[in-house]
Amino acid sequence: MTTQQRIFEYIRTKLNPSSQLQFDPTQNLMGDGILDSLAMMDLIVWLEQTFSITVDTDDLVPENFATLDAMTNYLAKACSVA
Amino acid sequence: MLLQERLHDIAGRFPDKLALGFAHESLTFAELDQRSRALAARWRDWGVRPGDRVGLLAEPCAAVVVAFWAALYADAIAVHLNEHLAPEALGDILDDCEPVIVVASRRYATQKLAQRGPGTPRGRILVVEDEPEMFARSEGQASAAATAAETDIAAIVYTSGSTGTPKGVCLSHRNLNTTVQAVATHMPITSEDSYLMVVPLHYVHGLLQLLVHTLCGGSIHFAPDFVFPNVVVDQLVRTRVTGFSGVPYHFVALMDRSRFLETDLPDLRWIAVTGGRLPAERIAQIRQAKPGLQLHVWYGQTECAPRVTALDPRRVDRKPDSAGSPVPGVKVLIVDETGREVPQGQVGEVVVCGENVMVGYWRQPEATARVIDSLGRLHTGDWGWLDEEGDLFLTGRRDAMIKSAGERIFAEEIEAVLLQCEGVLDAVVLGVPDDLAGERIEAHVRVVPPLPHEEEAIQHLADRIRRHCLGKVPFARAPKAYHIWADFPRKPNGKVDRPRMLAGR
Repeated sequence: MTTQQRIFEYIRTKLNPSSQLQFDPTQNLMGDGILDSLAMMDLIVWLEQTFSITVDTDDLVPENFATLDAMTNYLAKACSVA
Repeated sequence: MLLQERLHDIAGRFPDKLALGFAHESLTFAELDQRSRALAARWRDWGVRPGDRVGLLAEPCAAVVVAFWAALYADAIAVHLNEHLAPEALGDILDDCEPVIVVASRRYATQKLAQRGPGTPRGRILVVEDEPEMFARSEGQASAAATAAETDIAAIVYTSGSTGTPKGVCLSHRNLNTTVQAVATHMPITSEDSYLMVVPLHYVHGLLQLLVHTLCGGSIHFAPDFVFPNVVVDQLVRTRVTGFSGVPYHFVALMDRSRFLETDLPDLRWIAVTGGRLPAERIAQIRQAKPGLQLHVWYGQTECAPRVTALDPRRVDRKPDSAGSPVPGVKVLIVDETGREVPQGQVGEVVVCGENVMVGYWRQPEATARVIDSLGRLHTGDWGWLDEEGDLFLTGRRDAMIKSAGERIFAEEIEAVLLQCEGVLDAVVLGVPDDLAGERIEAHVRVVPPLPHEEEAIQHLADRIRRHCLGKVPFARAPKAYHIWADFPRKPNGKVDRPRMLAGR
C-alpha cells in the first residue's frame, strides 16, 4: 500500500466513512467538504504518529495538507529531514 | 430599541467605516445597512411575515450576514444552522423551526439540503452564488422602524439536548441587547475596536460578537478555518485587530501549533477565553509571553444570550480558575436542590436572573419549564460557588456533559445514537482528558453476543459503529475511539463501573 493509499484509508475508515469517497490525490479535502477543521487536525496528529515526524509550526500551512499529493510531498521532505 | 434599529443608527454615524471584512469582500456600515433593508423589503414582498423563520446555512460571507440583518429588518427570526450537521440532523432542525427561507451556499445546498424528501424544507432555498444581485442591491429599502417589540424573538440558536433532540434557544431583542450592552461596557468595546472572528455564527458566542462589534461601530474580520493556526496569526498581524476570543481549544492550538506567543501584536488589546476552562498553566504561559495583553475569562450559556460572568483581567493571575463575577444587568445565585440560596462559599447549582435569560425553547414549553422556574430564574445545571469577592468558581455539572474542542456534548445524546446502530445492546460515552481538545470522546459498547475473538473482526465491528455515528453526528461530536465489550465492568449494585471502564480501555 502506498503512502497516499494509507492516508486515504485512514480518512475513509476513521474520519469520513459515511461519504462516497473516491481516491483523488488532487482533491482539496477541506475545500470539498471531505474533512472539517477538527478532522484535519486529527489527520495531522495521525500523520505525526504514524510517520514519526513533528510538523513544525511553519510547515502547518494549507499548502502542505490540502490534498493527498500535498501531504505525500510534505511527508517525503519531512521524513528525509527526520 | 430593536437590534436592527441600533444597526441603522450606527450606520448613520459611521457610514463609510469597515463593518465586515472577508477574504475576498468587505462591507461598510452603510452598505451593510442598505443591503439588509433592501433584502428585507423584497422578502416582505414575497410574503415573509413577522415571526417567520429565516435559516442561514453558509460559510461566513457578506451575503449571510446581510441575510441575518434582513431577517431582523423583516421582523422575522434568524436561525444560523450548523453546516457540519449530517443532512438528517439538519433536517430535524428545519422540521422544528420551519423556515420560510433558507439562505445557503451552493456547497451546503447540494450536500445538505438536496437529499431531503419532497416538500422539505418547506421554505424557499436561496443559493448565495446563484443570486449575487439579491444580496448586493441597495434599492427599495425597508424602514428601520419595525413592528416587532423588544420582547419578540430575534434569533433561535440550536443546541443539543441530553435526549439528542434539537433544542432551539429563543433569544429576544432584549436578551441580546442586554448582553451586548454588558460586554460593550465591561470590555469596553467602542468604534475604535476591531475583532477577529474565528468562531462560527451558529454558536451563540459568534452571534454575540457579531452584534457587540457591529452595534458599537467596530469592524469584524472573519478568519478561515482554524486548522492552520499560523494562518490565524498572520491574519492577526495583517488586520491589526484589537480583540479576539475563542474556546480553550483555539488558544491551546495557537500556543502549541503557531508563532502566536512570540509574534509581536502591538494592536491586540484583549483576548477572551470562553466555552470551557483554560488550564491555569496555559493562562500563565500567555500572561508571561504577553504581559500587556488583557486576558478575559468568560462564562455563559446559550440560554443566557450567553454571557453570565466575566473575570476581570486584573484578577486573572490571582484567580485563574475563576469564571469571574456577573456582568452588568445579570445576577447569579447559588441554590440548593429546593431552590433556596446557600451561604456564600457553599457549592450549589448556578442560577441566573436578568433580562438576558432566554424567552424559552422553541415550541418546547415542558423543557423550558424544567430550566426556568416560577421566579423567571434560569437553572444552568452547572455546580459552583461564589467567593467573598463575588467571583464564581465552577465545580461540575448536574448531568454528564463532555466539553470537547468547544462543543458541549451530552453523553446520553451520543449513547442514544450508538443504540440506534444494529447489534449494539448497551452504550456508555465518556470524556477522557486530552491536551488539545480538553476532553476526548470515547464510546464503549456492548454488542449482541458472541463477541468475535479475532482482532480484525473486532476492528471491523468498531469501524461499522464508527461509520454509523459519523453518519448521524458531525466529526466534532462523534466518539474518536470505540471500545467493544462482552460485558461492562459493574459495581456490586449492578451499575456500570465507569472508572474501571476507563482503566480497562
